[in-house]
Amino acid sequence: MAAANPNPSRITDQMWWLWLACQEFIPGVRLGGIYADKSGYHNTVNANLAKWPGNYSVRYAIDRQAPKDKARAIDLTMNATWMRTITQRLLDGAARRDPRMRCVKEFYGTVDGVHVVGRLKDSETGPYRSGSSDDSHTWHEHVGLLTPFVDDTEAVRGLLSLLRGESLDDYLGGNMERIIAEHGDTGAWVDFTQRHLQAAGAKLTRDGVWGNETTSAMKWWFVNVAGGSSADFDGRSVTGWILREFLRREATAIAKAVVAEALADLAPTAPTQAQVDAAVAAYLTAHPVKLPENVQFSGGTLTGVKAK
Amino acid sequence: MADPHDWHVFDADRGLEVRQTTPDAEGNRWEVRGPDGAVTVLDDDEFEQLRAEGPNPKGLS
Repeated sequence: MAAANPNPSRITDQMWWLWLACQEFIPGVRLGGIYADKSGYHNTVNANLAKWPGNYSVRYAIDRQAPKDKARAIDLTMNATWMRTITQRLLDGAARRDPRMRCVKEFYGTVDGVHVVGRLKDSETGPYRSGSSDDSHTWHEHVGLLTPFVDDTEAVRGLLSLLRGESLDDYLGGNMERIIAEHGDTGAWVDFTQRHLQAAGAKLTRDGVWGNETTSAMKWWFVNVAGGSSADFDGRSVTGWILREFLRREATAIAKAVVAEALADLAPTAPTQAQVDAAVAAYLTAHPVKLPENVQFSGGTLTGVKAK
Repeated sequence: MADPHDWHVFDADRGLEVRQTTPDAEGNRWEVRGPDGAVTVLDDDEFEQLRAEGPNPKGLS
């Protein structure tokens, strides 16, 4: 039987569930802590504002939202191999702007056991920048969440999926019918949708807000790119199936671009006929040959009859 | 390994804390403090054993 949340007044069920889930796939992992009475993401918004009001974990408006009485970070103590694995998965997710990273404010770990690496961002859809921390992060991974997501079941599920090494495609595959984002939503999934619609040629602003423009673009995509019927789709939402289709098309486009670039760099391995003709003509000009009678020279290929 | 650092929680469930007292160039020395305050000194291999599955080094719980 799984251990119960030892401090539900400070640790959300979702964060405790994340810890239990990590135990299932990371051999030997230990909980380095979720709640701690110190400044930063391991403590609550309320405590930081009261005792450390200048702390970076309550600097931005998004982090001052509810739930203000819950811890917002988790530390996982792992062996060298899993430190590298988990840190690399987080780095890769940050680099490709994986929507499952939407809830992750910051993370610190190591990929070589010697140097601490980390990333942090200031908003749900903002870019990550490099950061670092003390060398205890060569043996424990710190993951801090933006405050509103510590009790967001779906967001934490997405994070777990990434930590487990599941591809985004596989993660979406479990949500074939479920609506991932819809008209009125904001955030990383909307930004992801808008990016792919733009790449497909739709005219819309990429602002992370799903309004009428995005709905029109979504419907346009469904009819003109996916070949669907306008009667079957109102454009007001995106499901896992559509997002997987985005990914498939993006992968195909990337593959085509890579092949085209490779072909462009290849030099012809054999001369063209025109090059041969020019070479022969140049030789004959430089080295006039008295041709036997009845031998015709076409300028490219020697034709005629063999001299007797 | 890396540079020295102060006490940090290693295992919240078991009340273990760890600090690194010597840097990589000096052979790495780790100290593990239990909930009763007792301190156990570990080398690199023993510290890695502590982080892995299986029995802990030096009788640590």
